[in-house]
Amino acid sequence: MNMHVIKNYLLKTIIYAVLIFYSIFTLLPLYWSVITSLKTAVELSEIPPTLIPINPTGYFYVDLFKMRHFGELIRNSIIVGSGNAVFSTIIGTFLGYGISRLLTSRKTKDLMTILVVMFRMFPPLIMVIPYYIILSKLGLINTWFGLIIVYLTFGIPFATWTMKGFFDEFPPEVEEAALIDGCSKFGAFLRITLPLLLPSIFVVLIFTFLYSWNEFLYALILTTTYDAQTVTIGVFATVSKWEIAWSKIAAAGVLSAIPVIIFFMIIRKYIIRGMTFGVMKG
Amino acid sequence: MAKGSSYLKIFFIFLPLSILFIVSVFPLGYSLYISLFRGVMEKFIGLENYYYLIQDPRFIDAIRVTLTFTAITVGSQTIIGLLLAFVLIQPIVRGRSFWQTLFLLPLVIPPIVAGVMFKILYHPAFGPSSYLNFIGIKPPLWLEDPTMALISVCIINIWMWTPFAFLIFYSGIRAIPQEILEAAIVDGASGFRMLTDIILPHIKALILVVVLFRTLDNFTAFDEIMGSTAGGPGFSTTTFAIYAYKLAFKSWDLGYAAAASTIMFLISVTIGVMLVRMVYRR
Repeated sequence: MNMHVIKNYLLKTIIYAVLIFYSIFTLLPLYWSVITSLKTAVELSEIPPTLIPINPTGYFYVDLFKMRHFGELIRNSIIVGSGNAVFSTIIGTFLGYGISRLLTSRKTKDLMTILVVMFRMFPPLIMVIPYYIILSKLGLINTWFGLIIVYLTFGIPFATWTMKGFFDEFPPEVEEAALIDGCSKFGAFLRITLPLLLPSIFVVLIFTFLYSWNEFLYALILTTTYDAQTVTIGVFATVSKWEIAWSKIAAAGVLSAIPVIIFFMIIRKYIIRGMTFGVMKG
Repeated sequence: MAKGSSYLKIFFIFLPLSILFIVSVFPLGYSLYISLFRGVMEKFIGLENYYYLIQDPRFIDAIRVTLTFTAITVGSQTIIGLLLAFVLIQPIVRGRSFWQTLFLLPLVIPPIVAGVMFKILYHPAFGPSSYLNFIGIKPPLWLEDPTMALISVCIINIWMWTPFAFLIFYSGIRAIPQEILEAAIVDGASGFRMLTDIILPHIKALILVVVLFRTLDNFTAFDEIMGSTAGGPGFSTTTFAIYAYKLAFKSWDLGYAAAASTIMFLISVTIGVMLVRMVYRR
């Protein structure tokens, strides 16, 4: 045994200790919610708490659908999320293309990009107060459509930014070749560029859906019944009204997190684009 | 040709940008207008709301809580994120993409759900900290003690957003040319020297970006606090956003709340302008 080997061994131990410790920190809240959601009331009162449920029960999940309208809430989240994803992605694709390809001067291009990023800095709280009054006047409180409009405030800037990044990377020669073949600029965009960028568009769709699914403050104030309330509101409602029913709270949390974890697995390759809006150049 | 291209600009830039302005800038302006009224647009009182606000001890207290919260969370996220990225790039680590995926998971969990899951985790009886009783340590009163409660909500935010810092630092370090890192190893640079002499100077700009982005977001933190403490006990975790929310939708003084959120917005914009100047100067 020489010093080098010992040092190397020690280093390895420290590194893996850090990685494992942080993994436990990351997974503990999720794991604890999963086991809590599966415990019966009797088991929940056991001291010390069991680490693996002895008699796992799905009762609380069933109850969420039966008594707390989780079926409707999930439906609403899917409708609002899809609506926002589609509108934001369409508008963002056009604007992203416009900024990336139609602006010729470097200066206007940068200015427009900065403008789009600035919208990221609007705190939802300053928007929710005027939107409460506006949607009330329009009769759009507690509607899918009202919520979709409000979600555009974060959906469009995100989609624009991300699509602009994809267009910037897309070789302009492909479009130029189509122009020479007699295509109009719009025709080249529609028939050549868009189909080739479909995977990128898909990524933007999923991320805008995910952001809508996770949104809480707007939905809390702009929806009032399970006709339009989203899943995050359902989770919050279990806390505020049924503080004692901890297993039900845990079940609601787990249920709302499952779809986003699945989506996360599908698009994890693109996570850096989806999660660093405004940070990297594109 | 020139005419055709101006039509395109209307379609690809002017139209989508107008939609963005209608959904974002119009409500923002309307919010400023609301802040000049008492209650729900009841009586025009000019700048009176702002006058009362700067003397409101609860508002001053909320600023103090928000600044403490932001300082703790941003500091921790930057340091832990950097540490994790540095550990993960070490040559002896196997399965990098596995660890990376695991660490990034909290980014997609709905913030309100993160708050609720930690509320379960912090529970004195069936949370994991009840195990401390068995080794003779009294578990901390995570959410009951006012000072501890602020630290506890900070931990939730740190859990949620450290992956963001990690992701940016990790990709930043990986972008450093391999030759530079190898040359340093040949020169006999130790792990720590490598961090201070090679890596930190290379990602200096990214550290600034992370600090500013996290400051901007954590400054308006709302969801995870609502899910865990809802601002309590007392006012110990009542940040800006929680206070403005309660003013608007518990006391129904929308004008006063709009004034509070305007001040919050002005601070955000100041941070945002700094951010944009730093990011785009590169």
